[in-house]
Amino acid sequence: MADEAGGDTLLQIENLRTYFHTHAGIVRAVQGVNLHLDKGETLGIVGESGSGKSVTALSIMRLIPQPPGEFAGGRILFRGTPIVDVREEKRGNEIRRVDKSISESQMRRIRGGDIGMIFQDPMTSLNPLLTIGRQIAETVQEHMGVGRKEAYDRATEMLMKVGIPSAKQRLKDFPFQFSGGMRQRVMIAIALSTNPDLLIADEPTTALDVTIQAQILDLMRGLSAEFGSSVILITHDLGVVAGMAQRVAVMYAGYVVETAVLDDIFYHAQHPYTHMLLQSIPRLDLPRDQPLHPIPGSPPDLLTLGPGCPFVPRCPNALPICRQQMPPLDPVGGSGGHLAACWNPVKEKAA
Amino acid sequence: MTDGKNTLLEIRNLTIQFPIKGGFLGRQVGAVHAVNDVNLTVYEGETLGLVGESGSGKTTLGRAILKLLPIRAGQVIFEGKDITNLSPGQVRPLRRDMQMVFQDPFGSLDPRMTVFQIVSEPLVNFKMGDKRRQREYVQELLKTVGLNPDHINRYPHEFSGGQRQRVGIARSLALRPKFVVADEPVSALDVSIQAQILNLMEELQGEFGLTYLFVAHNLSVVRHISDRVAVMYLGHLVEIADSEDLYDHPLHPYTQALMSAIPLPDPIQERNKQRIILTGDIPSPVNPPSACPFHTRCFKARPICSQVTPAFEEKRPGHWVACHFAEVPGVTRPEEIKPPEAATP
Repeated sequence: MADEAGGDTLLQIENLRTYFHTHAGIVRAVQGVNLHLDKGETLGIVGESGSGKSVTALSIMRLIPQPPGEFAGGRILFRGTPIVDVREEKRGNEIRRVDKSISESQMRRIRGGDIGMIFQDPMTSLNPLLTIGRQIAETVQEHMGVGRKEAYDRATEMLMKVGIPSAKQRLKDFPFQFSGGMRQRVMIAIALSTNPDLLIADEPTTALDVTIQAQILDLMRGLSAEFGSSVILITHDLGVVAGMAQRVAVMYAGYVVETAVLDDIFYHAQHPYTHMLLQSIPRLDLPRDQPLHPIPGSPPDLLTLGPGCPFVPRCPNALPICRQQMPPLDPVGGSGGHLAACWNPVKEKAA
Repeated sequence: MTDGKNTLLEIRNLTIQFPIKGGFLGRQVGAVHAVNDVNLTVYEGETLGLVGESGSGKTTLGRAILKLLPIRAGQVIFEGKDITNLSPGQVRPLRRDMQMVFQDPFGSLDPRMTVFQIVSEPLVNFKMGDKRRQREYVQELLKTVGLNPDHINRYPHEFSGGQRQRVGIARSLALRPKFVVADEPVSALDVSIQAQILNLMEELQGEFGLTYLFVAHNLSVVRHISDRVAVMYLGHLVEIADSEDLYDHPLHPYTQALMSAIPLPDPIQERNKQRIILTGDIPSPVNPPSACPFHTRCFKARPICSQVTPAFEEKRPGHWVACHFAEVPGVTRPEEIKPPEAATP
């Protein structure tokens, strides 16, 4: 695995903070995300609602509406290009925010071209008034600089790749003529039509039935191998991550609290949240009478977070320092690349 | 099939259809075949899981049992009494014994009512106790479901999703029912909260002597909480068995595919897993396939499957399945089974 300085890094996120200004106060949806993604790698981002996983994805795409949203700090580097680069610099006594992010017109070339995105809800992410063919061809024409005819050929090719029968005829159909699973296939076709380097899939199968989910995950596995795209897979389903990702980042209340290669997260979790999350889910692969160990309490309100670790109220390992200071995301455990933000990580039982 | 267990509820040949009106005069032009000829027994004190994907009819079945939907054919027998054709007035007293917990903890609580009003509404409806007594009782119930009894005057928006679901559960228990239909009670909740509600439901079952019909699409959740599990596909009951038996030895190809489709939160098992990927989508219940509803997607399908509806048979003790080629583990593989003779026309 290449470390952060390695030449294989496709995406690098440093200390990203994305805030939303609401009438109730500032919602710190993302308040300290550090991530990197290598070429060809699939990174799973796991978290519950409100953990900031979707806002992280939208930040990478720069799809955060501003206002009410705001990049309060941090950097997102895509192949070295600063999609977001907001720093605070001291000039005399004054602290000024310096924004060195690329312009919107530069961003438009990346968004949908070099970075494709699949959203959760295939019902609302397609335009109901345009044919499927037009929606794919539009993306291709915009980003690949080809004519209409070529764009439609590419659309046909993509529909075939994602397993839609009689692709050529279906180009003329509208989204309502497709089932949920088929619509998600169309979304994947659009996202991959420009050969993106990075594919962001935000809960791509959450709205689908289990057997359809299996089809879509199978398709994504095959296509990301074929296209060589790096993938960021965002989900709350630990099972989906276990079957798809090579590396995992666990998010809680706007922070990445633990990141490691897949097996380390599942078999050697260091952060109490990760550890407890894995013990709280009913599992088909364990005996039925295995008791569930719920995480007490509920996820925090992002409006009223104190300075310490946001998991403190629910954490059995909490120490006095946890209430005062957010722990840094530091290396833990034996194997490289395993980081956790915890003052008092889980002690592994001797096996 | 009693062996010491008392039958609480029996469903015989239940069929439910929703008419589709169309045309100039609004005549019926078709029907959604939501539930087709389902037979099911629920024993006292058990949890029966009902799983299926969207459109399988699991929610419709749950609601029909509670007489919330018109039944087209068949019978619902509760405690030995046929309740299929009771008038709304006759159903009312039954509501004490049969209650429901809904999926959506946001939509199922009236935002303008306090927790006290919500939980005590069934008591008011049945004119049970005076205000003071009701208040004490509701506080008691709130404590039972793990809520702070001092929050009795709060409104739903002041609670989190998990807490709201607890309010919904308290309401369903207010009349001390015998039977509770829980329709996807945890699917709207965060993963870390789901276990809290599942554990609560298990505790309450012991404490109140409840029988659950637990409707859900998440097979891991259903397996954990259910004693027996019934699998539905496109309005048909395709398999039913003890929880362990069903998950260890699924006999119906659909159940097998469903099991293999569930992502396991264990990377090693995920890597080594045999996946059965079904082709195609779930057919429309307006135009269901002939004979076996699953033959259009089935990896074992033969011509007979589209011609003869497979009987719902007991292939192992307590393990019923509707499939011509139900695989009995360790004995035969589907290739070796001779298809039963098609009935001569």
